Amino acid sequence: MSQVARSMSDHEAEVWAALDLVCDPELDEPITDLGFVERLDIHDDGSVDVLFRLPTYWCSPNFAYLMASDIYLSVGQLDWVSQVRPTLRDHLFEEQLNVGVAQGRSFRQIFGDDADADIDEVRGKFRLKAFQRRQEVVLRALLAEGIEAADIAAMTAGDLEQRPLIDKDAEIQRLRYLSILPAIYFYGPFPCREFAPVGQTIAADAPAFVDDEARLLTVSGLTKRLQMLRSVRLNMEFTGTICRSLLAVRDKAAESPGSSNTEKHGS
Amino acid sequence: MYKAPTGEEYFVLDGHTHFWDASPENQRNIHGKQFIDCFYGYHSALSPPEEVWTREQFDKYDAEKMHQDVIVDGHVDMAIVQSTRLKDFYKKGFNTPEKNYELVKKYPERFIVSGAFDPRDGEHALEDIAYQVEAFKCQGMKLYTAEWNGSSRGWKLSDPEAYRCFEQCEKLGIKNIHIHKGPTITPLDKDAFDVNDVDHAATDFPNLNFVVEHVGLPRLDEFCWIAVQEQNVYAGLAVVSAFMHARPGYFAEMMGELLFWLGEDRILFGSDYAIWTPRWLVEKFAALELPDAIKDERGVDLTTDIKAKILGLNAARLYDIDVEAKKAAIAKL
Repeated sequence: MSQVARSMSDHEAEVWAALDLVCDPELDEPITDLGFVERLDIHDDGSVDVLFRLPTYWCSPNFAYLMASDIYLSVGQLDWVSQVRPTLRDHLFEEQLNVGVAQGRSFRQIFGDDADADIDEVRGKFRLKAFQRRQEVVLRALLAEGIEAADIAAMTAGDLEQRPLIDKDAEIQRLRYLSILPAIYFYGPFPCREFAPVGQTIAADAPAFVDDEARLLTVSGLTKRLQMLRSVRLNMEFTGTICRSLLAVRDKAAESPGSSNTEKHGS
Repeated sequence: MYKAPTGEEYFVLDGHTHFWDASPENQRNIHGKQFIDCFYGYHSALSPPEEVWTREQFDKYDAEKMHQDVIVDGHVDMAIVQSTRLKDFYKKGFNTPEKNYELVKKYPERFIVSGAFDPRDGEHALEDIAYQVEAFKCQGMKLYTAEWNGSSRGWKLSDPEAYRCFEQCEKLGIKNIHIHKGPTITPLDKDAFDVNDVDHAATDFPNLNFVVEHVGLPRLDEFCWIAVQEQNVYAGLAVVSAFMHARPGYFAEMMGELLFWLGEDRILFGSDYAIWTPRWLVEKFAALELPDAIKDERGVDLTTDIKAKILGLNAARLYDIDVEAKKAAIAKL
């Protein structure tokens, strides 16, 4: 990706920026940071091919679908783009997914009776986890900076907006937390959308730290909440470590000569 | 017996090992290749570099090599060999009870076979359980709820067909049910490794022990919640233990959680051999100290006595192994 970045045209830069907004739902990390995007092709007719690969052939197809359709939507937002073709490679269901997403079909339309969960429900479930994960990072960073639990519980969204964090990763999560917080206020524990309804926002004096039902956290509730959030993080770190390690191994194998792995394109 | 450099001695019972044949000759289709590719990815990703095998070694190994790696070099006194047939992916199956039994025949003091059944096979499943107990002296069963079977894309421990199999297990003296509950994979959108079905089965079969392998990750919160309610639910450390090298801080935090929620008597060591070799896992586990922050926050510790339980004594209790008698028998080999 770095080589691409150096010689990037404006259009390429815009597509990469659009891809930065697409996250692995299970890990809440951009697919670009994770190294899932293997190749980008921008054609003269304004169509864009995005080739991506997941850590294993067995990765859950609902997550694969969410990423493919988010690529489709996010890149499709660019006004000069005429068509987006996300292509998943080396996956058990690549054919069904690639054809289905390019035709704008829903998960259920693609998989029929084999798919019994509502994909929006899945989306909501993982958005809630993203909210929880981001919240934990921010809470622990504030505690690490010596802020008292009582002062944290009393913080408003406005206060948090004005309060950069020292730790670099935590600072990134503070901004991401603030961006997802309205969804919890407006949609509750299963946010079907990432952002508040158009034209609406939460008040600056709304509490910065709430539970999954958007209820204010008390000082005693904060300790309990942190314990719960720890499990959420341990779950996500488990999957994240495995995904990252598998990708690292595959990339290493692809670099070594005579390897039987599929060649890596693009970067 | 493992004798740590600091002098402590541990009886080690590895609760989760495999004896597979994933060689290209045995692969039935692309799924068989991708399945072992995925395992090899886990192996090379999380093993210390000096413990990484070649791909050819990893595809297939014989009973002598397994005995050498696990028992001779691996500090393990006894191991449970888990069965996963996967006949849709492998012509002769992946690690069938038939194949696993080779180890018991060669090294009877060292290996115990855990069988496998699929409740969707109906009456045949009941016969299958009886056959395995008779033929392979199975004392446990390994269940894999995500396996496809005809038009079915998975099953649950709470299914009525599964209950009939559990009744059969009880009748035939099988006490230990190992269940794979790991990372979300296919089929499709269903979470085939959702842990909630364990809750139902564990309540309704209080005489069976349910060992949740991989502690249900990434569903730790749900797993712990169930394990707190159900005293016959156990945590199997396979895969989690492999984090000791690459992510020691993560592993320590995980131990803190498991000790806090389940306590020291319901956690079982497992290497997941041949995905990981037990030698380094046993050595690192015996040397592990929980950071003070975890000890203070969770009010737990990982003492020598607790390590001894996790490394072997807890599993020995589940499998009715008299540890002192076993040590004496092993000393005579």
